[in-house]
Amino acid sequence: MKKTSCDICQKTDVPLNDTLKIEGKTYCAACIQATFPNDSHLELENIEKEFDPTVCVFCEKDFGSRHLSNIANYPVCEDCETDIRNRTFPTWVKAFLAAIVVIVIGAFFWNWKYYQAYNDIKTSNNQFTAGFYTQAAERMTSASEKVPEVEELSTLASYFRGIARLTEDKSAEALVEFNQCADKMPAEYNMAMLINQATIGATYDNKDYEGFLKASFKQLELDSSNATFWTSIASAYACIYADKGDESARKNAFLYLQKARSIDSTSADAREYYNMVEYRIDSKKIISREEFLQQFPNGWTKK
Amino acid sequence: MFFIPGEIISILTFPGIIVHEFAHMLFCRLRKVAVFDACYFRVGNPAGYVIHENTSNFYTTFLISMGPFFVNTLLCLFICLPAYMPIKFFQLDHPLSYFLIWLGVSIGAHAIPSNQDASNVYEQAKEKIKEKNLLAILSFPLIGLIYVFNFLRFFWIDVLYGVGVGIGIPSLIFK
Repeated sequence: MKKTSCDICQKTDVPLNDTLKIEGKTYCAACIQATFPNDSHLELENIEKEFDPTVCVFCEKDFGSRHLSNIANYPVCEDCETDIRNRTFPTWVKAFLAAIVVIVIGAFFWNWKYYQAYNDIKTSNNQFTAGFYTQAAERMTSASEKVPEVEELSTLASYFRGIARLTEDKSAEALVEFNQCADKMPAEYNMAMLINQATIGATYDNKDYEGFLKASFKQLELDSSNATFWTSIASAYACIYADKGDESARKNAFLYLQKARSIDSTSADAREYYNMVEYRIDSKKIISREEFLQQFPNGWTKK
Repeated sequence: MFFIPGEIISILTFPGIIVHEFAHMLFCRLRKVAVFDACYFRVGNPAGYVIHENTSNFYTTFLISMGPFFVNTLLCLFICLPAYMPIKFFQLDHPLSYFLIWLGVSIGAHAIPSNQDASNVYEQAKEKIKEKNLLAILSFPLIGLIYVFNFLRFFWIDVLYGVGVGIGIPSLIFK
């Protein structure tokens, strides 16, 4: 251990580590206490600490006259140097960080379904906008299956499936889907119109022509400015006439066709529909639109 | 803006302090720098610290000083990202999601290194920049940002940073 003398009390044999150099003068512990009773008195002073190179600053072990090696100006013995160089994390810190890693990984797995559902929804909406209704319905169904706790998704999936079935001419299936989601869909989705459209298709498919007529009238109540809806009634009357030979139904069919023509007599779609109804009345044959187009690719003309 | 003592903020966001000091310590270990003392969390000022030897290696100084910035920021993002989707997109109020958001934001709120850390990097960066060291050049705006952030700590900028990383970035990714 190295010793020095105090410049204030002139005491010799003071251990070097028990002194401080304040403004260039060496103070022993007692003189520091006496001169600067409060720590605040030392705030503006120039203080230097000189370490005894023979005493380890960490374990305070005295190595006699042997000078120890320094780490960042601190004399450190071999044992303490090994400890310092190999200082590791406390167990609780390791446990804490391990828990964080587990939480991060666990959270990713736990919430992965939401990201998959999000991706399904985005893709589904894009497909729906592009007119790929069947694919859109599949992706929306997949999203709702991944996150069953979100009721809006299953509602939207029903709606998408309904639209897809309607475009696939599976009106009865579309009707089931629309009925499932009708109460939960916002008004702008016009569910009444869609349900009616599906009902028209379903009744036609079941050869329930009275039901077809009833649903067509209901559709007209929702929008009387659309020529297609007037034609739909004419079509229903044409079916009844073709099925039962009811003459009044025939007359009504022409009456409603006339009304439809007064609204739209030019568009190709409308003219094709009128032509199909006229064929039905004339031939008393009820064939689907696809069959009609196949048989009469250039339209039907009365002979 | 109302005043909340720093100690209360520290207690509320204690995971961030532990991770911050862990990051300092981790890079000390990786760069074989002697650590004299380390405190990972305490109620006081500072709430945590790592006392290590100085090094003349600029890269080592940069890693040790800026380590928490990268570690805390990334952890904040990785913890908040999975929790963001069920809350924001599906409106599912699951307690686990809110726990993750708290944990992530707490960690993000302690990402900003101290002025002492910035000063350590600055002292060596100004020498290294004379050698046209790329990291030194890149570190200057970062150092400036750290000083600004520490100056604005009174206005909870550190917490806002955590919210920005934990909630702002996911909201930009998943619009």
